[in-house]
Amino acid sequence: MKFLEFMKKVFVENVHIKLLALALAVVVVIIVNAI
Amino acid sequence: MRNPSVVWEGIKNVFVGFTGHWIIVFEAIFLFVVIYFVLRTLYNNNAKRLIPVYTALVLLAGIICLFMKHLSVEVFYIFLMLISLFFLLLFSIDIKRSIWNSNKRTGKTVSDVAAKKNGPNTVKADACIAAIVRAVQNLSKNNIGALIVFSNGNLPKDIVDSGIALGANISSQLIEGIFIPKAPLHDGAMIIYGDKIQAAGCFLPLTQKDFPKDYGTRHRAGIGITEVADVSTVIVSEETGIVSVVKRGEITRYMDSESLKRFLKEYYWKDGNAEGKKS
Repeated sequence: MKFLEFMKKVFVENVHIKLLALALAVVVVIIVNAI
Repeated sequence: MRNPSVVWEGIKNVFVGFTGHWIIVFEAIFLFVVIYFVLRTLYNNNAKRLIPVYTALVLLAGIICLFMKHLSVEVFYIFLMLISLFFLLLFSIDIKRSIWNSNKRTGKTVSDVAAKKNGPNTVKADACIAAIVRAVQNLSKNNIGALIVFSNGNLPKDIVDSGIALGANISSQLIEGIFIPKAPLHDGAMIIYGDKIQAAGCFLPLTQKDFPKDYGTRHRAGIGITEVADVSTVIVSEETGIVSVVKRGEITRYMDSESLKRFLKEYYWKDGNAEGKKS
């Protein structure tokens, strides 16, 4: 149960912030590889 | 026992295969964690308008490094880390508080004292509330300064250890006795955790915010501790006898016995059932 709660927390909490962070991380990786 | 150099070689061999795409994946995961931590800190601390600023700065640093041929990847990473560190430093107190509060789950919660409305614990919690209210009223009437911290078991150990550990049952006589001027423990904070007086004579961090001049050290300490830990404090002013309650850095003055009782019920039944709150 605790694991399920943890997974729920990981995937449900602050989804928009996570998506923004992921998008920014991907852009940064693209820039780093382009430099 | 294995030879350390053999172990080291083994570890190195694990990373030999991590080239090309794997490196990119690890880079992306690392950056995601760093960026998410910064964004979440900004988001959770009412600084949403700084999120576009941080995003723009990261992108700007990237674009600058992209077009300036003499700047390397390392320079870009240093830029990125400095920007992230700058934004995190703005909320260092909040980060510290969230780290301390993460210990809360491991300890017994205050609601254990008043878990059931009709159980024996409710009687205990009611007795604690009555004793605290009586003590605070007597202290206020006699203009005796007092500072009581209501902990959830999440106070940093060094703060609790700065005073004298008591572990005593709550009673109005004991609370009043501790705060009597010239008593050895009167010049410090008393920490109450559940139905026990955990410690007395503790030193608390002072708030650095701009408050009216008539707030003395006791008030500043009472506010300061609520800024760094998820606790509440009750302060009795030595000059005026005014009773104040502080929650999350917000001070409410002129508390009468009824509002003090409400505050204490909230403390004892915070995580308990709704019936408990109403009682």
